[in-house]
Amino acid sequence: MLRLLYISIFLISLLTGRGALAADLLVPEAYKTIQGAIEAASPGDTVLVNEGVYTENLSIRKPIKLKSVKGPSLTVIKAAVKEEPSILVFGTDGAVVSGFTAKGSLSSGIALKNVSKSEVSGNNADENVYGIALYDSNENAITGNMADRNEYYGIYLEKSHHNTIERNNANRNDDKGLFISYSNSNVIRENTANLNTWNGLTLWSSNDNVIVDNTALRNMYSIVVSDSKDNEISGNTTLPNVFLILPVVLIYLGIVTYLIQKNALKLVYGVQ
Amino acid sequence: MQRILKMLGVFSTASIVLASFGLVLATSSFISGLQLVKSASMVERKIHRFNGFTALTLYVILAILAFWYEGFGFLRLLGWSSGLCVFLLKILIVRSKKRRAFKYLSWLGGTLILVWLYMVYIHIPV
Repeated sequence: MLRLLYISIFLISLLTGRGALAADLLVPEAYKTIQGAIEAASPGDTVLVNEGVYTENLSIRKPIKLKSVKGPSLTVIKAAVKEEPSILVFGTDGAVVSGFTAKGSLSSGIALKNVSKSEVSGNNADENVYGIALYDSNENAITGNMADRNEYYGIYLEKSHHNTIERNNANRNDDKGLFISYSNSNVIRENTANLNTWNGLTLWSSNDNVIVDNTALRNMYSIVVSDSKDNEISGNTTLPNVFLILPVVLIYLGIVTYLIQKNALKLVYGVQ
Repeated sequence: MQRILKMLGVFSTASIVLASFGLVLATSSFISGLQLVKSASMVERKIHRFNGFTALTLYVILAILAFWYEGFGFLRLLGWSSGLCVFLLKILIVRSKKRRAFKYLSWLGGTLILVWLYMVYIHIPV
């Protein structure tokens, strides 16, 4: 009976391609290039990338996990072909991209096209044209990423629905921090979009999204909603109290300083 | 108490500290300048000059820091130069000793307060 159970589990693992058979593929120890490891990986495998600067365009088209060992500051993917994304996830579900710096692309640092139920977390997508871009991608989790100093948008969603965009930074981009375009029913929560040249967060023809507890400071416009309906927008910070209280306190201190200086100088010079 | 500590946490960079001092001094200088219009008191003049020139020095230091950390750029250069022009124009009018031009000084002083308010605004760390 027990043997039958083991065989069943083994067969299920084989059929699904996951579970006990999942392997870790190491770069650069076992594979010289990350793309080589991705090609060799089976669904459910994890490609673990050690520190280094890799000049490649990665293309993930199966449900694998791509993770860095030492985090985004030490694991950099520079786009070899600048017109292509540094990391592209295409036509799959259940993929994971975690812990990389993706930079130098005239397209996107990290792009998801026709992807569902995947995770992009803890990456830096800086100095591209788009930081992280989702096209026709649904039910993905984009969490804890940095998408700063990109030429257009930090995080861009186009025709992508039911995604969770949480705890990301999209700062100092030359256009918009977060741009949600023709995308519905997404949850945009606890993100930071500061110091962008134009809008911090933009909803464009997008409905039924939840925009809560985000911070958008010192952009040209903080949160812009256009041609969109039924969005829940609450608890976002666009002008914290300190921006109002501090100047008032300082002017008050200025008046006090004047009075102190005046009386002190009167004492020193013996003026009445 | 936590809110006050959080508020004090704003002063985490040298730039915001300098900008805050600048606004305090500019306010004090502005009030003494208004008093000088009424009567040429020596005490008011000393306060006005000392605070004014210290504020100008802080402005120049902030400008240098901005160019050092953020690099040169046309808009950045234009912005800082415009602020500096307000300072210089004010000094120029005072030095010219033309009484007719003095009526514009309070406007320039007000503009400098606005400049410092903007300085504080842009330097609050986010």
